[in-house]
Amino acid sequence: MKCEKIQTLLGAYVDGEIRTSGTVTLIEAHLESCTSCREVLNSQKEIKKILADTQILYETFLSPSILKARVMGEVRARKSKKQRIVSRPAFVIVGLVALLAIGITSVGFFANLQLEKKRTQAFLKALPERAEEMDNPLMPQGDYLIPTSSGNGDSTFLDFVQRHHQMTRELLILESDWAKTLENLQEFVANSENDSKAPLFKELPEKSKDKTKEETNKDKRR
Amino acid sequence: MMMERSAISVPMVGLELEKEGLGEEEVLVVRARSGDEIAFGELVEIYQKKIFNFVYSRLQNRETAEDVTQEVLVKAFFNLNRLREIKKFKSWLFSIANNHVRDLRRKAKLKMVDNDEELSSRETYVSAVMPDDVVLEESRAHMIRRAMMLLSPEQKEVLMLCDIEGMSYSEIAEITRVPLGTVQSRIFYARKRLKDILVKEFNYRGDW
Repeated sequence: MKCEKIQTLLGAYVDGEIRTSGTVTLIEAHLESCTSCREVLNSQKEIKKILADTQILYETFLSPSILKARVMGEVRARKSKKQRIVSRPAFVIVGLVALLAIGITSVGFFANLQLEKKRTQAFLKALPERAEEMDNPLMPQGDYLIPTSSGNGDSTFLDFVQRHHQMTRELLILESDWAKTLENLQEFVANSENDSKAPLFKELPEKSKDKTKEETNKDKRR
Repeated sequence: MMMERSAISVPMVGLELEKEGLGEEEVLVVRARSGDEIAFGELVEIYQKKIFNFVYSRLQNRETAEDVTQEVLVKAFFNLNRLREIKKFKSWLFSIANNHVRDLRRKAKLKMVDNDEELSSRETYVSAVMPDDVVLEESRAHMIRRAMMLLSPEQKEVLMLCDIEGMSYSEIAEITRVPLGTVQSRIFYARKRLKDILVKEFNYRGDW
């Protein structure tokens, strides 16, 4: 290989970026006999070393902690801006209506739930925890405890209890889901009310918004 | 009893990320991706100087470089969900910085020293080279920094990434979006030019 070709590979050679062992052998063989290529190799090595050794760190005007504070401040500002996009007046109204509807429904719902809980708990007290024991001949069997007026078509006592267990389980899951939804909605409405009061959050037209941002950045610098 | 358990149970969140073979920094990336600001703050601490360095070396305007650094990091936070491989966070971050710098240069309205490669290198050549007595007083680091400024933007870019950040050629190729062969020759010629500048303009006597 000619010197020129070899030389362009020397950067990669210094960095250990030549993957084919054949090429490496070729370069090394050439370097043995060629002074000018060895010089080029040395200067590549030297520059790499100088750059690694020297602190080529340019100083910022801002201290690292201020730069970090600026970044995190901007992250928070944009986060809350994203949230605000949702909390327009129309959404607030929808939220309030939904809250009212849910409130009304849940009064009846929770009352029902309490009733169902009590009934099932009474059965649970009377029962062993494991289902296999239900078949124990000493346990009440057949229509022993089923009120004839219930009209649910439970053929055995076991069916009856299991159905109630299932119902209560579902109600409890629903209850926790609904409670969460209610909480979220309350928070949502509270937040959007705060937002509309705070003058900080006024929407500005696109261009002047950028300007304000730059200006505040400059102010911080001073 | 059984009933209560099933109603209250809360889905478990996998927190034992270390077990998946992730390093400390990668765990921070995962946490930041799920919106954890404290974790992201730590990443900012690790990378703000590096990003500033990389950006400033190409823009040569501190204020702009600070603003760009801020913007790059904020952008990273809101786009972390697009990062597919956690382990590539560093090169991903640098590629955001690189795109940003390129965008700015394309817009060209900003008064940047290196708007036009050829022209700008010549311009800076004149202004960056100091009288002899001043040069003598300069520390070696300062001299090398000044010499770096005389390289073309592409040359600065590859040397910052390769020799200062210690990245591999394939990472650099990804960040700068050029083929591996181009990265290889750019690095070679950048070092060669830097050596020439150090010798000719700064009378640097190295072990060449």
